Amino acid sequence: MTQNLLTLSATQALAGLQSKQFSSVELTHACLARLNARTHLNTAITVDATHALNMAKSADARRAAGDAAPLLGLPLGIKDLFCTQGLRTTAASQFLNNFVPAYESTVTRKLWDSGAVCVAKLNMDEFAMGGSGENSAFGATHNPWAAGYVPGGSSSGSAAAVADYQVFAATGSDTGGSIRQPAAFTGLVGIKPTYGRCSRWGMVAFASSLDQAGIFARTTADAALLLETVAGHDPMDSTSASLPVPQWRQNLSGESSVKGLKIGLPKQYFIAGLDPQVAAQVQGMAQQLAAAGAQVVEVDLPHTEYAVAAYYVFAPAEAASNLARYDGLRFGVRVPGATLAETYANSRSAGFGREVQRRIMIGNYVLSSGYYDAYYTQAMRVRQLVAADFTAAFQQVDVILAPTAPSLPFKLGEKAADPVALYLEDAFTIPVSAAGLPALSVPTGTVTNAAGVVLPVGAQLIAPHWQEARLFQVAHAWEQIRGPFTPPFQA
Amino acid sequence: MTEHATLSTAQLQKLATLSRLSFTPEALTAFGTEFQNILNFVTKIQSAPTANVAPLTSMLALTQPEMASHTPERADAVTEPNQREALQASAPSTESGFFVVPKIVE
Repeated sequence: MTQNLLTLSATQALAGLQSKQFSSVELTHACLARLNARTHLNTAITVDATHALNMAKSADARRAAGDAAPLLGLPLGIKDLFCTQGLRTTAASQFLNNFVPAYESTVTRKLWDSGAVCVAKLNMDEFAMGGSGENSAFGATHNPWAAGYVPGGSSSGSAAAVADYQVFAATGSDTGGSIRQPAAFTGLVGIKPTYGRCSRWGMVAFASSLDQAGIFARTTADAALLLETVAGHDPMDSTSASLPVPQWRQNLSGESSVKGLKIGLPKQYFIAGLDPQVAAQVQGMAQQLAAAGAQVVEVDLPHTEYAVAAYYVFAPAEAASNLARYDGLRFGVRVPGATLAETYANSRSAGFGREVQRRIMIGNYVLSSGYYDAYYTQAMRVRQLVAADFTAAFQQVDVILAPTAPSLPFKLGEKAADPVALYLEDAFTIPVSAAGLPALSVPTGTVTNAAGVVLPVGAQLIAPHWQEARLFQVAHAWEQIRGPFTPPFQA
Repeated sequence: MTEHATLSTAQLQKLATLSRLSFTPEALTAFGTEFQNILNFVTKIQSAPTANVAPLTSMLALTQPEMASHTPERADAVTEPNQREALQASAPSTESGFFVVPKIVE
């Protein structure tokens, strides 16, 4: 019975709630029991069962009173960098181990207003810096497909919790690939919308010109429904757009077609470093979309090779500036020293993990007098070129199809010793982030790695600014061509 | 151009001080190697064909060009209630409703 409840899609769970087949309290109990039985995956940082059940009871009461809010009673997981009022928010950092926000992020406020239930605050790479989930002060998260393998990052817990049927969907944040790559590694749909589509208010900041909230779900329809709920203008974030939020979910009813759609395959993404099995999956998907009536052509993104290097200049530069606020005076860790400067340094060194310290150092270096032009300004010139590549490509095609990540999920520890190797994991997601474009990762299928382990592969769909509808349309059409695909339910 | 800039331990130490981070000498040495690898990697941007390319200065220029010249502002109005207790609940040290901070004036 419990498995029958947990393996429902979010859309199905909401239909069941509406038709009174079960209550939100029952669904929430099932999620809490699943979380409790699967702690070895280390998906969650904070689980407050009392809080979750109170939210569920309140949702059930609202429904009984005739409320029809779109997510009423749906249990969700929240990446632990969305501030939740009265509920600990750590960004997976020792520095924020005891931080309880006095305010709610806009994204989560919209979810609770829509009736969703907060089941868990989910694990992640510290301050969203990482691509494997291993940089968490609360320990690494395991991939539910194969324990001992990474679920991707930085939204590691969000991906693993949804793929392991602990929650029906989850929020994530994506700065350079932190939703799309873990979605690919766990067989989920993950969407990073256009920069400015969702408010960043109340999200712990990493790189403010890149950070964007998004959704992990097991189907495209679920992702569309959730994104629709959290998107929209917010006066608290001056970069959030005053644009109407389309009814993405409703527009997916019935069959989606790709007939006549022009789809571009960027030749710079099918390179030597790409795992041949990943390449074959994405090319196979392109052929099937072509067979369904899409026109598939090659597109040129000539400056792709510079994007990752540029990102590791401007993203750390922004991080170093954003993380200057962690001084150990008003919140967080304080380790006293002989002077104020020593107190700052002691507190920050005690509170920040190695990768975070590395990025602060890099960021301050590239912003320092004498190096600023050669690194930071130059990186922002490259960023302009990378964005222009996409603008030109979208003159020729409606949507771009590419691998989400160059490799299959790898083993915990496999790339931990070499930061640069891990940085290259984001080679296909970073250019999109640099240009502020919306992109969605959708599962293509599974492959078997050299060790005989079955793992999922994801393909990335990229659209022009504000054209998330195209991503949902193509992903939904692909789901119909591909057939049902869900992560295995491990008992 | 600063192609393949090499950082001395003294430079690394200065950068750590400016970053308000403290390292043991051994940790700084280990860190220096990683730092140098990253720096060598990002130096690739210096070979990009950027002549006559202006640096991107605002994301709004890409996503909302009509807003790029003037970022919207909120009205200068009080919107939040006093939340001193909730805010100070996460503070490392408070006394009588004040934040306790290290002495900086001798």
